[in-house]
Amino acid sequence: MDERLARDVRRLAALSVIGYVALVAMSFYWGFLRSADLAARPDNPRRILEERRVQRGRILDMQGQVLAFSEAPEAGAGGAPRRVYPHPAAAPVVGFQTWRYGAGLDPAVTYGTGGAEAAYDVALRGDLGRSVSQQLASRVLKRPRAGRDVVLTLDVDLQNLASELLAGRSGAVVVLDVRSGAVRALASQPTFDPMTLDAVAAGQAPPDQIMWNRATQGLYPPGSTWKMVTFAAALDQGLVAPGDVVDDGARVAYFDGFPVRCDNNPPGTDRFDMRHAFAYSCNVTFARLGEELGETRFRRYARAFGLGESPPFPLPVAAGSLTDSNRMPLPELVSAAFGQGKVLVTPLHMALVAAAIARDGTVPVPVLLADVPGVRWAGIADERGTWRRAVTSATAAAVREAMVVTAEEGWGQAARRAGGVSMGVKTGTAETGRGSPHAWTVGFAPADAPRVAAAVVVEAGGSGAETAAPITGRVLARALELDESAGASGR
Amino acid sequence: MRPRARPREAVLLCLAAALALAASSAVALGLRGQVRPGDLVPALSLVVLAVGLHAALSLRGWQADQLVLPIAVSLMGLSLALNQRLAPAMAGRQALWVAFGVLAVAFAALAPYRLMLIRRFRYTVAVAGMSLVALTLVAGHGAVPGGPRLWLSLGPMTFQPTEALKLLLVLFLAAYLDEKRELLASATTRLGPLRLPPLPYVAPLGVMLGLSLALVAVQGDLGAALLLYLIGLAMLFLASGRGSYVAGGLALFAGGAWFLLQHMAVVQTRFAIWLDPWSDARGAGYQVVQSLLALGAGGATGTGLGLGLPTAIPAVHTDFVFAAVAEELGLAGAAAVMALYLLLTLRGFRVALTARSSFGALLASGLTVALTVQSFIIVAGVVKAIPLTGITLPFLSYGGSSILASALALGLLLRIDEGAGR
Repeated sequence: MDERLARDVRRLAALSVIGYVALVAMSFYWGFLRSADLAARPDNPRRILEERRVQRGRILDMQGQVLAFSEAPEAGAGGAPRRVYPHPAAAPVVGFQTWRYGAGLDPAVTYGTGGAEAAYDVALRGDLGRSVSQQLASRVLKRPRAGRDVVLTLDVDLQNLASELLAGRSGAVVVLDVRSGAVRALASQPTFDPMTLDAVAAGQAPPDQIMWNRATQGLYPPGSTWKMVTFAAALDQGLVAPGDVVDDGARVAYFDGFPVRCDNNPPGTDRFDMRHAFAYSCNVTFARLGEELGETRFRRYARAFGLGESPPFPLPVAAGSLTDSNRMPLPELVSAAFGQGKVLVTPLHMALVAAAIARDGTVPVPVLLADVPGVRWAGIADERGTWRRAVTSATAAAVREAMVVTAEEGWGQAARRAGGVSMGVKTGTAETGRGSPHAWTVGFAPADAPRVAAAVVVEAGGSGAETAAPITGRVLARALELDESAGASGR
Repeated sequence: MRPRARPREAVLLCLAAALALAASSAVALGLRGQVRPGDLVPALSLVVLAVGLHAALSLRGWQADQLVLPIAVSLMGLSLALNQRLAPAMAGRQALWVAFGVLAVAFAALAPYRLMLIRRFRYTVAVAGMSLVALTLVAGHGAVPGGPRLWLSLGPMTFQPTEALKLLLVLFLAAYLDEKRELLASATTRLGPLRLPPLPYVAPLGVMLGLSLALVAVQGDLGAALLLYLIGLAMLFLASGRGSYVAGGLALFAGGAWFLLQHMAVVQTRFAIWLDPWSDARGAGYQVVQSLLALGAGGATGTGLGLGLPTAIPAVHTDFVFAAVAEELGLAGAAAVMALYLLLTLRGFRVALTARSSFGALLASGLTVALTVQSFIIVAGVVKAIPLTGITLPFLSYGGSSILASALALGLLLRIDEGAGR
């Protein structure tokens, strides 16, 4: 073999060395330098694989009923544990945890987590209460990770009842424990079934905004239920006393030329005290209170009750707003005083207002997490307590009294009849400017020493007294029953 | 013919056997958490056959290279495990192909024939190659409707004619160029200011280029075309020793590539994906993006066999097997596999350097170039160093034709090294 050929063979060999070294360098580039941003890509199916290694904890309600659990995967590797949700009505609170990717499905269909599944993910997947070294060891050894159970304050019987009462309509029901702020029910209809997200994604069922939690994110004009706030503010400021007598013989008043009518009063009754003005929901009376309060004080009390701010809560809550303008013209201010104008609130917010009136005038922090057995978690303690003070205890007591009158003699009698227990309520029929008005009823029970509060809205439900009040009565009564049985069993 | 021990081969085969058994066990553990005896049957069969071949070589007193067989057995052992991992339904067939692969090494090395026969029947080889191409053009069919028509059916069997064509091309070029090498190295044809190789002697290169382009045009098999062209160019360079031919060949290649880029949709797509797979990560770029995600997931030591998600890559067990190695065995595993290929390449070139005849040297270099270029093209495509062209990774990818062709090349290398080419 000649020298020339040998030299050229060596050249090719050297070229091969360079080529292979370059390939290893490229492997290093992707495996190390680009590793982090590749791992973070939402279309990386490895994220789902990671989820599958977790033996996810269960989600339980306050009675120990299972709201979500994971079924062991069927035989063969690669199978994912199936997440089972026995109570679809709890979906607005429990949320979903369904990692889906590729394989026969449109890769664009990538579900993640939502609701409590997302909020308490750190506990459910077992990272809570484990040291960093424990986490590292199980990752290196590819051990299946055991998650922790999470107990919610929710009462799934009450949640199911609330959803049934709403069935066929769009709306929301929120029930709170007055003393602790614990959320006992948070229903939103129509809602989704976490077990059939595939069908929804495939367009087999019309979504109709089913993923949208109306209880925490639906912004509605509160209608006359907002008179609770206006009344409380006026009482708190000493502008009016419960026993003051008002005369509404004219049944119409003009504010800068803007007419406000009072056509809710029972026939033949033009003179009554403030409690009955509240019970009959006379717009003129509350428009005047709004004018007397003035914009500054009105804004202050709205904020004191939490409007314009999201309460600390594991699910996203819309802040709501009193107005969208810097200065409210008089017609808007007086409209806002009876819950029209540009006021927008969530059902959760109205339940918090009811709870504040039902207790000592302080707005509780809404609580969803009852316990993570086996772990002391700062998150549990942090959520309890008072969010803010709205009005004095005496003011709250006076508004309570007016609400009891409403349930006994005013527009809230349907709630009292449906519930069969003593209670205080306020109804509302919120005009939206188009179509039927939204039906509201907000209340608490029992009348003396209230323990539960509720807010109900039925979209385009017409009259609050007819549509929403019976629902409020039923859920308040049921919540009291469950509260008593839970108390009897030592909870 | 006196028996002689092959101690290095014996030791290295033990290591290769350990690797094969460990890899298959790791896959079984990773996938199912337990190892059943059946899981190890393919690896054990490979080991038994390899030991048999080792014994046969020793009994015949062969002194040929003792590294190449253990390297191939390591790669094939890993291939068995990877197919159990990536395409369990095909793992049994791959086990059969690997077994046939060892027999093919034995056949090419030990069968009673003389290498010089290849030289004598060079035109028969050429005709066989061209018939194969013609047959594929007429009767070839795709693995999927509308896909590249790369396959020929023979009763129940299908095979990829390009794998055979690759070997035939090397055999023919080695014989033809060896015959003409003096002329190629000296004479030139003047065309104005250009000095070109003597026209009659570059005819095979032209034919080869034509065949490659025909394959591209009719089959859409870019990888095979690139491979054949580069093999031809490398062998022409070795035979002539002229860098100018290489430059001319590369210029021609660039021109051809540019032409195809203008006129073939599949080439345009591949090029666009190479430049930016991310913009169409769920469509055309899906396969490449998934491959890069797998590469990114491996880290230093990988997820462990059976514990990553390389199966998200379409065709991972054939074209993208390297991405699976990088994910589940990490950069360490990927670099080790690259080192095995590099070692195989260097041993192949060493065989060429020590061959007694220039024919043997050209043949050994050609076979080595074929294995090397093929490995480089597909791995470089997987790591996005060059546009992706679908082609198998020798010894490692799923596929009978690929394994057999690589095994025959290995057997020929052993035979050349034993001095049969003298």
